[in-house]
Amino acid sequence: MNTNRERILQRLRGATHSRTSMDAPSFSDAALFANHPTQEDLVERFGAKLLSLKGEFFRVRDIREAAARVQELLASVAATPAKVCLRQRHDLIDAVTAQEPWLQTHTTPLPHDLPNEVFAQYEAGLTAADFLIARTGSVMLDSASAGGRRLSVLPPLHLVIATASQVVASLDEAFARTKKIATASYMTIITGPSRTSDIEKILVLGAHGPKRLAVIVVDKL
Amino acid sequence: MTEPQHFLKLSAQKAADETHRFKIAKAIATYDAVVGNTKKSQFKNWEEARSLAAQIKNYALEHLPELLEQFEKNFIATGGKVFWAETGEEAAEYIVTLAQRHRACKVVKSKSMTTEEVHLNERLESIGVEVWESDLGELIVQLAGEKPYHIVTPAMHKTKEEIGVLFNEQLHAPLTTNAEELTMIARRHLREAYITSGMGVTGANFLIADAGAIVVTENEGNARLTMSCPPVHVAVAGIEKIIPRLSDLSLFLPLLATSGTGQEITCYNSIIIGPRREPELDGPREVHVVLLDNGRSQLYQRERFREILRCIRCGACLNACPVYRTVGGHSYRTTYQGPIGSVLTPHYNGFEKFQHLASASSLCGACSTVCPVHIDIHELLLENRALAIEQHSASLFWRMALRAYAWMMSRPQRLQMLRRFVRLLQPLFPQRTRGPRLSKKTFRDLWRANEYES
Repeated sequence: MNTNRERILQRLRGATHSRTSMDAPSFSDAALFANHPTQEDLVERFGAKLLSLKGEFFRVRDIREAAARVQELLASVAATPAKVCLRQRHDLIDAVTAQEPWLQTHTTPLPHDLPNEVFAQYEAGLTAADFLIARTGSVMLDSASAGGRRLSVLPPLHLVIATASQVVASLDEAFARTKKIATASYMTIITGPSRTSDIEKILVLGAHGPKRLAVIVVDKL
Repeated sequence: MTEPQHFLKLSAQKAADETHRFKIAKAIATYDAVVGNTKKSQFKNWEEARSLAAQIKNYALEHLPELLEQFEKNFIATGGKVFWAETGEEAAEYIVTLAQRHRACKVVKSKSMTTEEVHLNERLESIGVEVWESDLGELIVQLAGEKPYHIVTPAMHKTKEEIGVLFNEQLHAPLTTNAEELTMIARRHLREAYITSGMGVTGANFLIADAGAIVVTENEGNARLTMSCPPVHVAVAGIEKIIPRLSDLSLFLPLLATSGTGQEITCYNSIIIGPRREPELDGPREVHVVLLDNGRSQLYQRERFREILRCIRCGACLNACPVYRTVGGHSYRTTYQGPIGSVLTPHYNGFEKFQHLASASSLCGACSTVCPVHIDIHELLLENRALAIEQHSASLFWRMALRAYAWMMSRPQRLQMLRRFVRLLQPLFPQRTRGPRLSKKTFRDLWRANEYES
């Protein structure tokens, strides 16, 4: 049916091949990167890296403290209570928001197919994550773990709550451990708040995505 | 005017424009400093890292047909659609038809060189579709009615003062020269595009065979919004973008970011595995990948050129190139500028028109030294020159000149004769091309007279 396909593949197959290797070479991040974390506390390492990328980082002991932190962060947002924050329906997020009545009124569970126009009125998005990557200070999340695609990018403030056990040393470990690839349609690796240097190489935060990225790591559930 | 004439005229203008040279030198100095640091701080051994990347890309090219089929099979299994486009025309046609079918009167785009290559904007606009470029640099050149100046930094040649005036005139924004305020003007301007567009179009930095996924790398978040908000997402990817495994990203994402901008990893790296699935809360219901050939398979058939298909479009060779730095991105009049563009363009757009670009190089090899996938770019420029002669697409003048050159260089006496002749005529040359006066005595003369000792 698609004859273009056949013609392209035929040209590629017809080209003389000199195959040098049987398998693609394998490698590990530990061997490749000078700043691969070794013995140190991975949570601290993640936090230091995120701060250097102008993200915000909070380490808390339990979900009570996490709830207090979320409230503090959301209290700085100027909006009517109903339009402050969309949150994902997720065990950890639900447990945190259940701690404070204020959080119940100031966060709205994200419904199915919220129209873009309405979505864009919210000031913050509260999500979970799959992994936090210590070496690069990155948050890895997907459309299943973080409430679809828009919640972590459309609102100007992105809040992430994760547990210390989700912190991994490097990207290869996160890829090896991710099983979500079969179940989610979208994954993203977020490293700091949105940025651009398109104008005279001057760094500006908050180009199109969130101006602020705050990550709260809970030590014990 | 022919393409070589355009190139000569524009590059002479730009080379003499000191304001332009200052702007470019400043931007590239900033780039050089940060890239140098990141190579050292992030990689144990940059040379080994780029050799490894070249090996993985070589593997991918050796198995290109199988890996493309594997990608296609996996991507279709998730509900995605794949269209193979032999030409840029077919790719643009497919996307135009999609826009019509979905009655999209507005299309939002994130930065993509392949859509530049297939002239998608012009095609969409010709049927009355509004096209919104959402990358800040792309928005600036779109509003200015220009083409991207650089494959990574499209608006490298614009000062904040010029952008301020542009935004004031085109977007009716208050006049400012502050980079942050200018960025916020663009942010507010484009919100509407994400929210109301019927279709989002992106490029792709990688196609992952084993996961059936496309990867889009960026910093601003505009690509994420482009593939999250509208109901349809189309990604246009060159067939050479394939890598075998998801796990290869842990090398390629840091490698691309380091060479592209000097970051350890870019702000957002998104992996798309088809359209939204139940019970996901949002996301496009249709995701299409256009696999673009447009000359790549012919290039693939020429074995000595195949390594150019390893390119990951980081822009490092542009920044390193003394010719690019002097003549700027617009003098080339091509989608891909600088050394990589000078290799690719004749293959994609015809040797008759663009073979002169093989000579837009000092053959210093700076491009090959910085390439993160170890392409011998300057050697391929020589190969382009050779191919032009073999194909007889070189001009009669050029072929005669080369024959004369070969004659002249094959005997020392002939070369000396030329030297004396040039020395005699040198005062008559225009000052710009005159150069320092050739010495009366040759190196051989000095050697014979033992003057080298004094």
